[in-house]
This record gives sequence, C-alpha cells and structure tokens, in this order.
Amino acid sequence: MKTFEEKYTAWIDGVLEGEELRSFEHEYPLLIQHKVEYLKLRSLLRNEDYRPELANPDFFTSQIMFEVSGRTAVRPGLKSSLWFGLPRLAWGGVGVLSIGLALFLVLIPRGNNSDPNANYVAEVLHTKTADPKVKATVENRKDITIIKLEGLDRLPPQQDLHH
Amino acid sequence: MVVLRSCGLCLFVAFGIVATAPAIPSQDSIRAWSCLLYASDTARRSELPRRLAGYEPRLQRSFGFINYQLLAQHEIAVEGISETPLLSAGDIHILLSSFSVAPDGGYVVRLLFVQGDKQEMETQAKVGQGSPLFIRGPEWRDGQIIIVVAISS
Repeated sequence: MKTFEEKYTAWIDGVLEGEELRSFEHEYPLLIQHKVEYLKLRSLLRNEDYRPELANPDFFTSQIMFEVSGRTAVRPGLKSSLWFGLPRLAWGGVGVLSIGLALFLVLIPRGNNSDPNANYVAEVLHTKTADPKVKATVENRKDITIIKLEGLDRLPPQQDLHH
Repeated sequence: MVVLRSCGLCLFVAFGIVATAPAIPSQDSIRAWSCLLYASDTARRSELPRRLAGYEPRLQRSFGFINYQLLAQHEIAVEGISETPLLSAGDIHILLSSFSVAPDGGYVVRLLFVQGDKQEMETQAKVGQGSPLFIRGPEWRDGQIIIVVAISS
C-alpha cells in the first residue's frame, strides 16, 4: 500500500493514474488548486523570456576567473610581507635604536644645564706644608674647593706679579 | 640576510665608537691651566678669565672680597709630566709634579706651591674636567693672592 507522500509525488509528476488518481483527488480536493498553481509557476520559470541575457557576459566571467585565480595563487603582498620577516624587522629595530641613541649622545648636551655647579668636582686628597708656621686647611663646598694657606710671608707691595 | 646582519654589526660598532669616544680623552689633548688673581675691595674690577666664568659670586662668598683682578695666567700641555712649571709670577711659582687620569674620568694632580725659593706646600688633588681648584695664597697690597688650577681637554 502506497503512503500519502508516494501518492502525492506521483500525482504531482502526473504518473498517478486510474482508480488511484480518482480516489486521491476525491480524498484531497484542495490539493488540486495547489497543483494548478504549481504547474503555472513551473511553466513560468521554464519560459525563456524570464532568463535575462547579460549585456557583457565576458566581463563577468573574467571577473569571476580573476577572483578565483586571486584566491588560489600567492599574492604579491604576501611575498613582500615575507620579505619583511621577523628577523629583518628585529635587525631593523636594533639599527634604528642604535642610530637614535648615537644621535642622542652626540647632539643632546649631557649634564644638568640648569645648574652650572652640578658638574663641579674638586677634591683635595693630601696636603703638606714644609714650614710648620704655615698651615693649610681645606674648605670643601659643593661648588668650590679651596686650600687656605695661613702663615705665609706677606708679599712686598711693590713686587710685580703680572706675568 | 647576511648583508643585513653585517649592517647591524656595523651600526653596533659605530654606536660603540660614538658612545665611548667622548669618555676616553687622549692625554695628548689635556691641558693644565693656572692663573693668579688679586682679590681685594679696592682694586679695579676686571673680567675674570673665560674658564672662571660664573665663579665670581662663589669667590666673593668664599674669600670675602668684592673685586678679583687677573694678574697672570699660563697654560701647558700635559704630556710626560715631570715637575713642570705651571705658573710663575714674581715670587710665586706653581709646579705640576705629577698627573694621571682617574678611572672615573677625573684627573689626579700633584702640585707644588713655592714662594720665593721656599717650597711652602705640596698637595694632591682630584679635579674634574674644567673644575678649578683654588688656593688662598699670601697677602699682597690691600688684599690676597688667589691661585687657580684647572685641567681641561
């Protein structure tokens, strides 16, 4: 015994005949209207008037072929990205950093320019006087270092000290 | 790839040269300079030497005199030093008896101060590049004699 689906498919395809056809249409009268609409739609879609011709089919074909070839072939951008590989980028970074540091050391003045005393370095390590009358004391300040000699003979005022 | 590695190596070498060049002064280019100043409240004021630019307020504060007049100055190249006269003016003589470059870049100098024919003082000091060392010397006229020693390259 055939199921409803088998009968329906055969009926739509037009192969249901005889007593089966009559009993099916008698049992499902609403389906007849559906079949009429289906047949109209099928004939409409098979009509060649509804298949518009492309004005420039070669252009679309070439576009599609280009897309297909572009997806399968190795792209030039990928080649260039391979050229800038990670090691080369690393070396490039190191080189740029080296140049930047060298320029910084050469061009930028070092030291604290805001404080002219910042670079002052003078330290007395050892002092000795030959004459016990003469005393040497060291005055160490942040911005000046002085050895003060006391007990020296006064210089004659007429002596010319210009060199 | 090999070319790029070579370029990177060259850059490192160049960077090393540039970075270390200023830190290692050649001893041939090092110069010792000394001058004699007359500090007083009465002497005419004169321009301090270029190497003492900016030091006038410190001198006034430290020595207590208002005016500082340059009497003499002398400069020598420091190379193979063995007790070299650095400055002579009247009875005052400064001799540089030894010189060496300290590991930290400073200079260690040994100085002799002679007045007349008598060695009055011997000192060893460490000075930085362009940092003058001051010695308060004998009295003269209405003020004081100040000796300055500086090393530069």
